[in-house]
Amino acid sequence: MAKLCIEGVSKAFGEKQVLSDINLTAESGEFVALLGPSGCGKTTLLNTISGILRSDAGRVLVDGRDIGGLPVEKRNIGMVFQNYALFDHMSVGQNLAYGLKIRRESREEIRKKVSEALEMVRLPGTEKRRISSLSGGEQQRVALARAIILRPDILLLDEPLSALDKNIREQMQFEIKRIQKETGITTVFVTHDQGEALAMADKIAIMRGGEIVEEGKPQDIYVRPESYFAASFLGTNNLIRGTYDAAGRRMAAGELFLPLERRDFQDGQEVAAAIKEEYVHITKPGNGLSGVLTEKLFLGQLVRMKVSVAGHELKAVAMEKEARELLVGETVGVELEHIQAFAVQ
Amino acid sequence: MKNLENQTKQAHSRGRSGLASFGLLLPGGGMLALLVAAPLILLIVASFCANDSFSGGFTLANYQQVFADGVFTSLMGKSVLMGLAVTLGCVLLAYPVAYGLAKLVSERARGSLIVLIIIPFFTSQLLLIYSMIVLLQGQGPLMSLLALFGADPSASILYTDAAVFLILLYEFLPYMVLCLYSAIAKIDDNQLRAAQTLGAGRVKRFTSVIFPKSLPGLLSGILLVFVPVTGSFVEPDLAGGSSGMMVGSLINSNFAAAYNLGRGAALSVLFLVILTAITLVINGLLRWAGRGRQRL
Repeated sequence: MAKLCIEGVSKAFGEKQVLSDINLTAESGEFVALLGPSGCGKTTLLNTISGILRSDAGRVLVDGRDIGGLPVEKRNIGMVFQNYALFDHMSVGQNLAYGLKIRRESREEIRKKVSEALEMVRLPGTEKRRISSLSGGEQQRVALARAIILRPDILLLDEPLSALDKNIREQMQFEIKRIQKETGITTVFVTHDQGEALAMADKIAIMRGGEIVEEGKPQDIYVRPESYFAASFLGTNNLIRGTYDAAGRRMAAGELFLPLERRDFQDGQEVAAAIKEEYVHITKPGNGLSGVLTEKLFLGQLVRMKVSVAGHELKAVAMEKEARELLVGETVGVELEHIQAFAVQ
Repeated sequence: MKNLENQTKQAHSRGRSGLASFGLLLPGGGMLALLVAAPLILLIVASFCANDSFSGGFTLANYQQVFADGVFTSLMGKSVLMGLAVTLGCVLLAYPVAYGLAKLVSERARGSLIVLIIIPFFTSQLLLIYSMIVLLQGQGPLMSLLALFGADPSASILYTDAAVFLILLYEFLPYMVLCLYSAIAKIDDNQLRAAQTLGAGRVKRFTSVIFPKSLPGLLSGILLVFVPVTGSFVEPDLAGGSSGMMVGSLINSNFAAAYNLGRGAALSVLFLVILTAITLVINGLLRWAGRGRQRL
């Protein structure tokens, strides 16, 4: 249990600025996800916390103590690597006991802790198994157990689920979340998968080009993003550009007029809007805007559609039974909500 | 019926593939049989023959002669010590070099550094030895340099065992570096980082990850260095002075100078047996050490 503060951390590789002036706080016991496209600097940030990389500027504080000068092995930080990095020349038990032996704990103590940790990741009694005999999901659990067995101040997870099959990945999301809550270890999780971040994190920090664009609770950042990047990055979006019409309190994009909640724009100012596909509701003609259904894709539980409205093609998604009656080529009504508008820089 | 047909078809194809793999094994296997197994058998037979034409019948005389004067025992002991010392020297020098090469230098520098290590292989062994002799001799570059610090420039370690040790070390270091390099390069960087996050300092990272994971490379390096160094005779003859003789020189002189094929063969067989035994012991010890580090 420790609070993590990152203050003004910068890092450059040669000419390339990878991190610029990063500020981030993870409260004690909080689960923070660093979310961003590849190359945004999220793994570099993780490595400056662990000490694998030294930052050029800024401080990393754990409970107010600057750990920037300490070598990796003295930082008391647990890490799960993307490829797990298990010691494949040792058994499961030896992997878990590794750090405990370095701390010179007694044999009895080690045996007890190893068995408890395996219990926690739901792999009891596997001490003697060889790493190569484990499945991907099991290796993931062992890697997690090895990282938390030392009760680190901070736990770092570097895309830990990216190598797993879809089904196991979803199962492991729950598992990691459960274990994180049970142990109460402050956790920083790096991912490029927004579903993972939204499902698991208490707080998401969205990164782009070495900067944190926006941070907040998953619900807030998804429904009410404060930046165009966050709005367009999360979910599947309809992106529309137009100009603000102050008199009508709306934005005009060709023939399409969208009423806006935000009104702090100048008349005629260029505005970019993002509407998530699930906020485009397709109904009977006569409701809202008038459009023509152009495509319908059956996905089982869901139906994905495209609708042409005033010269714009909008993506929409609905439950299968709600969209059953709608036919391609028909005129339909289109209702829009949660239109997120931002000034174009 | 259909099943039966299928089975016979399978049997046929299996027969063909058996023939094919035999055909593919033939060049390699034949070469081993002709160039390794056959000479070895001849050598063993010759060591038990009374005369050089393989016609004198079975005798133990060759072996009795070898042990009669004690020259072999003392030279063998000296050679094994030299072999062990050079091998140890190579291991100690090669580990940091191989580690740096595999993990610390940039991709671009690595290529040219490896070429530098391989360059000696393009030169004849004799040339390497003479170049070292020139370097080490009295009034030579090394002694002239040391003279600046007050050493006698005409003195030299040349024609001592120390010179032989240095020359052998110089000759065989590249083998050890390359063997260790290829083993260490295969170690996943994240495993070293993981060890570090779990609290392992430099020493612990070496003993628990680098050493056990580079063991196969280390063992082949030891084999490539220890066996030829122990059997070397050119280096001691050229740079070892009057008392520099090693067991290789003894074997060589029996074949090349004394034309005593039987005694030479007996010496060779003994040398082979002793070296195999020592190598097996080293192998076992290292494997035990590699595992012992990881016991719960």
